Order: sequence, then structure tokens, then C-alpha cells
Amino acid sequence: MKINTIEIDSIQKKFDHKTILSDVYLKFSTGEIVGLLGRNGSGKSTLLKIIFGIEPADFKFIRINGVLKSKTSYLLQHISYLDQNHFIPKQFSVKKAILLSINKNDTYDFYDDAMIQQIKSSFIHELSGGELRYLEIKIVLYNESQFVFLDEPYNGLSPIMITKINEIITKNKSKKGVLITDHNYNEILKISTKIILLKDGKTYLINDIKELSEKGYLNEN
Amino acid sequence: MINKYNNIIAFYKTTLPVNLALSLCALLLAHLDGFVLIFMTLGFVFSLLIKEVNNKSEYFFYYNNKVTKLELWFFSLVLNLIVVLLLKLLILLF
Repeated sequence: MKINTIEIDSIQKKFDHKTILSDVYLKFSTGEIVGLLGRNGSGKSTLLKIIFGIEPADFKFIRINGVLKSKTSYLLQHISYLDQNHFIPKQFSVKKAILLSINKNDTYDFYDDAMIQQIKSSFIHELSGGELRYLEIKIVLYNESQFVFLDEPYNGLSPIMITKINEIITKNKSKKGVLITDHNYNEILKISTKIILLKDGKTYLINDIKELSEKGYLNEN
Repeated sequence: MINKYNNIIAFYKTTLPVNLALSLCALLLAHLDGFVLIFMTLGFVFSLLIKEVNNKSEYFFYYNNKVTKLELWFFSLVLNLIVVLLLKLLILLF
């Protein structure tokens, strides 16, 4: 299987003269799950949207497999994004959402799942929040992109659902590079192969959980 | 490869309820010319505006299927034009 690598450097973003992102460096490849932690308002979602190509930045440098990519249409070819809000149009059926998103060759594997079997005959508006989140995450993990960004995937989910979602993320990491951010840091720590802290617009590689306390992300005790 | 055009058609269909509702009102008030004018302009823009305000996150579905917002809007406008031309052709024939 081909290993793809994404490298993000020198992203700068200001809102009303306030610097949100100033010194960001991230590099990861297929098979890695990078956990991005940071306090509320630290710019995590903004960073993900800048890399995805839908949020403008004052400066950005993104290389995929060594090739510089800046246009949104190019970035969309390589990256999938799970938004914080539900994104599948409510009037669609589950089958239609899958048909429009998943390659025919992967359809059998996609449907080979107890939860998908349970919801496959429903419409999107009939699904519970957990079922819809599961479907959305599975779609972004199974589509053709090389990298997937998951922005708050655990938001509002029960512990059982979180476990199921962690299972599908871990199961599919061999196909993609995953960048995940959520305030449920315990779950992030469980599945991540690398932890990055975003603080004061800068990224810090975290090698030990103690560093999260030292850098003010967690309480000292 | 996921068919980009199937995604564009699926998006286009979601713009139709609002657009057709406004255009049919125009049909009652200003006959076919009114229908065509509203269908191509105000009705279409209004349907996109409602989407922008109420369902903005739905664009992520199409982004994840590698279709940009500009492509969705442009090709929907082209489909609108095709519908209008077909309608006019049908009226000429019958």
C-alpha cells in the first residue's frame, strides 16, 4: 500500500489584527493518527479548515507527497473533513448518501457492518445523532481521500458509540492519515499515535502527558 | 471514481423546491416569461441563500466528494438553463 505524507508549515492567520495561528508545523503519513489538542478558541477548527482549503489564510504552505498544493480544488482531491455539525443533506436516504460518496469496489465492505445494516433503509432525517455521526465518520474514512480530518467526532455521543467510532478509526488508519481534534482528550490519547498541542497559535509535539499540564492544557494535579 | 456529476445533480435537486415555489408564483402573476425570469435569477439565488443560511454545513458533503461550491453553483445554473430551454422547446412543439 502506498504511504502518503502531508506536511503543513508556516500557517499564519489573523482575525481583526489578533494573531490566531502563527507558527504551525505538522507532518504525518498514512497509518498515523495525529491527535490535535488545544483549549477552546485556540484555532484548531480554523487550522483544519485552512488545510482543507475552505478557510483563507494570510500564509500557508501545504505539501502532499512532496508537491505544493494551495488551490481548494486540489486539496479536496486529497483530504476529507468531518465538520463539527452534521453535513449529510437531511432529505437524502442513507443508501443515496453512500452511493454518492463510496466507490463501487468498497460498497460491499462498507455495508458489512451491523450498524450500517440497521440504518441502511432509513432517511438521514430519521437517524439519531449517534447513528448519523457513525455514518458520517464511516463515509469520510471509506471515501477516496488520502487524509481525513475529524473535527470533534465524539461531540454528544454515548460511551458505547465513542468506542465504536474509535474502532472504525483504528480499523481504517492503514488506508489514510488521520488528524483528529476533540475536547474528550482521554479518547484522543487512547487512539492517537502522535499528540500535538496548539497553544498561542503555535504547535508543540507532546511526548509525555505531563507536558500537557506543564503547557497549561490540563490541571497540574 | 465517485461520479462528480451525480453529486452536482443531487445538489441541483435540493435547490428546486424553493426555486419552483417562487417561480410558480411568478407563473401565476406574469405567465411563462415571469416563470423563466424568476427560475433563472431570483428563485435560484434565493434557494442558494436559504442553503447558505440554514444548511451551510451540507456543503461539506460535496467537498468530501471532491466538488467545490463554485462548481455546484455553476453547474446548477447550467442545469437551470437546460431546463428552461427544454421547457421552451416543448411549448414550441406542442
